[in-house]
Amino acid sequence: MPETPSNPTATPAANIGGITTDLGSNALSPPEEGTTTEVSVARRLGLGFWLSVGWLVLVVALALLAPVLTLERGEARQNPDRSVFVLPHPEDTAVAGRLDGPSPGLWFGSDNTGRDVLSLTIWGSRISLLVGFVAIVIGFLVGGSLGIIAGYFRGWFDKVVSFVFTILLSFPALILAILITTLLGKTFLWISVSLGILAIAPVGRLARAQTLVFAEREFVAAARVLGAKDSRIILRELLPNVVIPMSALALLGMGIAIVAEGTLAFLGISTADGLSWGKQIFESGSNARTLETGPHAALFPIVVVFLTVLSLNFAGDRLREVFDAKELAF
Amino acid sequence: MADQPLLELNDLSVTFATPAGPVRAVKGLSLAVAPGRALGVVGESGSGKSVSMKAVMDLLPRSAQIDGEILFAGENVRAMSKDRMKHFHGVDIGMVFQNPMTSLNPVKRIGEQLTEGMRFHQGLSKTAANARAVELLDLVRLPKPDERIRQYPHELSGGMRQRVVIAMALANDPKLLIADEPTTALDVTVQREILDLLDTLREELNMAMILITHDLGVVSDRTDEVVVMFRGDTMETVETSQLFDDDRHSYTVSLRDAMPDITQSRDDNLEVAAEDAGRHADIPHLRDPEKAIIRVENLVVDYPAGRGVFRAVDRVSFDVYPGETLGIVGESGCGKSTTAKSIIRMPPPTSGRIWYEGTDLSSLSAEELRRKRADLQMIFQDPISSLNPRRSVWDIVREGVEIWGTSGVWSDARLVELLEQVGIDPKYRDRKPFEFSGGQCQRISIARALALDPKVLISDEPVSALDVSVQAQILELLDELKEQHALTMLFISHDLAVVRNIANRVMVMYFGRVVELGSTDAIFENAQHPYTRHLLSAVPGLEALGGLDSIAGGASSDGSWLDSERSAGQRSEEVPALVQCGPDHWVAEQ
Repeated sequence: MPETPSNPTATPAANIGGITTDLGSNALSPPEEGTTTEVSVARRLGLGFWLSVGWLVLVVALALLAPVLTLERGEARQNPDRSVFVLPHPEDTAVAGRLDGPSPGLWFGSDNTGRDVLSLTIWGSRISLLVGFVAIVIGFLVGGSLGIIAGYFRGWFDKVVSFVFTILLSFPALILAILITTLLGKTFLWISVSLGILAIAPVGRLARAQTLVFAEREFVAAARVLGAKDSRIILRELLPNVVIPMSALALLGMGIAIVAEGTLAFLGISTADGLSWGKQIFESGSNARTLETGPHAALFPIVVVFLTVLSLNFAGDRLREVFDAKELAF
Repeated sequence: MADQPLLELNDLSVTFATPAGPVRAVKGLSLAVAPGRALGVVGESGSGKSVSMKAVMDLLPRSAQIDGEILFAGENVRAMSKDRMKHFHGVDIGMVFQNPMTSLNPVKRIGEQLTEGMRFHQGLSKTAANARAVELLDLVRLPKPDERIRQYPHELSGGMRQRVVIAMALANDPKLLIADEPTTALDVTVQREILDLLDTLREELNMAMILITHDLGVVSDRTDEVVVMFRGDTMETVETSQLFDDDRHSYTVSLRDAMPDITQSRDDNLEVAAEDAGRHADIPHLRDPEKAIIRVENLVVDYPAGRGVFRAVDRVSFDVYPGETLGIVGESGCGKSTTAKSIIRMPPPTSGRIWYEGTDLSSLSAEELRRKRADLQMIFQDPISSLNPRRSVWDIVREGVEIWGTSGVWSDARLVELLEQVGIDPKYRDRKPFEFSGGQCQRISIARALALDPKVLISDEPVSALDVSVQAQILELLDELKEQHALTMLFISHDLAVVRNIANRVMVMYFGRVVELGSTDAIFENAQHPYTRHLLSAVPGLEALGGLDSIAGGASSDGSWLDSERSAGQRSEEVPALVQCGPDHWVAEQ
């Protein structure tokens, strides 16, 4: 091993000249309190990471609080003087003029039919975030477990799973999503499922690759010698190690799913049963006249999507960097 | 030293800025080496020996702050211009690194890698550079050099690769060769060949050489002067001939004492108490196989290799008796690990039978085997890789108990006791492995294996990754625990000195077969097989220690048996039978 000057515990306790004689006393040099890795994980993640997290918390909180913040349908027109934190119902048309610009009380302006863009954006986030979340959960549950099992057991199962992953990856993603939603219905559920299926292969391949790396390590052999069964080795030895790089991918994947939902909406495949960011951008942004006279109606949701996906990517990347570095140092 | 020193370090210090504050890796190192002389820099990991040479080579990260003077032939290295620096690195100094696997580019042919530097620094044409490459490979005694330059690194063995790395270092006729642990990754016989080569080249080319190593044996054979370092401080600088004198610095002495002594039999070394003396007499001999705890008969292990199979272990038979330590030695690839591990069916044997306490292990169902296997535990070579980085020490040590149910052998209190026994303070039980040093990790690993109260402990190179002082502690710990827990041990090692210190009996393996088997003293003092003699004669530092009787005669330690064996290219069909040649001593027929 090369010298590791940054790690104060790397060298064993030994007084010069007393090296071989300190076996009588039991405890060796105690590891020093609070090594650098512990002290500053939060700081090493950096300001960018915490800004991203802050934005994501804000978006999620607004999505969760939307029903509380919003008036009943039709109420907005009866009380034009609303306080700042009360939003008109997103489907209320003509709460303002058509394509009114941003103003106090109407922060994001209004769209083509006079709906409040802020209210639309907040309500749209509910479906968009949920689609991203459900898709990535499906990808993790199916792809992650297949990948870990394939990587651990190898053999024919690994061959079959890897082959399925390859097929999934080579299948044109959009066509698969169109196929599923057209056949089974353009609902929130089936859009999530089709995006989830698309997430299986990339998630599964990472899980498999990580498992291969850790299954080689001697602690897995040690567990087997102790008599651990395969299920225990997978759950207790491998999973905690594989989950770290996977969690970074989860954030990245959620961002991708949100964008994919928007893409599908642009192709006319979006939830018939609700609002979403994709649907909102499609409605306001696919008409050249609307874009010319009131670009804000499409721009605001686009900026929100952009910031959200950026935050997810950034947070995921930073997490991976920091934890990978910790692994490397170890 | 009549000559003007070629490289001179005056009060060199290296400080790294870390989040925890500055760390001084090298503190005021001064040394000088003259042309044609060899200087050894010795120390354990963290001593700053490599860092100081990296400072000379300007290979340190930017966060390192270098103070002091580095003079090369009187010229201040730290004041060199960029272009001069390039010349200094590429031409004036050659460097050989520890691992020949990683210092060569796997996708480039040997010839390309060799000629690159020459064409850049000497402006040679392609043909001229190629001719020079062949010359260099010939110089480092690589057979068939004109074929080698068209080969890729993976086609060469580890020793051959290290020769290529040396050839690369010599390509531009350096005046100084810095070798950083050049043989640590190599087998002992190959190590001797490489060190011999470096010696010869140094004389032929009148180079200066700096040899960085953790191994006092290596420097004692190969250098004129030695600098001993410890945690960045220079302990002393001493003529090699006086290294083993009594009035050395206390650290040098302790380093020397920590070295396992191959010339002393086990009992002298460990100063076994009087009551233990009888223990060895209790060990039943091969004549009484009924008493064996493990019996191995005609063990064969095949690995798939390409289309065919590679026979890693070829019809090996031996017995292990309760309470003894059987050392299994041999060079890498000889099948020593595979043999021991196939007892716990990792990997399962291809054929042959293994009995444990009279039960044929191959007749057991998977579940029965799992239960039996709790008796047979193992410790691994790499203390870091063998601990799960995400679990606490306590979880790791408790794992066996959890698997077999808390009603089992160990209560929490006994686990705490076990941690104390292996020398880990139980108050650190919630820490993760990365907070411990390599030696401490190995202790945790030992505690984990002992938690199930096993009867047999298979130790696969348990000290090879550790510093020599830590190595001595772990060996002593293993020996103690063996007594306390009434263990039988299989001890696999490539290090003969270590084996002499811990084993009661030794089995020497070569190319998947047993060549010699006998009591430790018989093997080390009266080695019969030419391969065993060859192995013994390659141990570094042997002369300084006074040599070994078994090879003092030196009749067949010249490796001629090995040469004929290697040139045959494959094994004979028949396994040579083991013939008894002493009361507890068997040797393969040649």
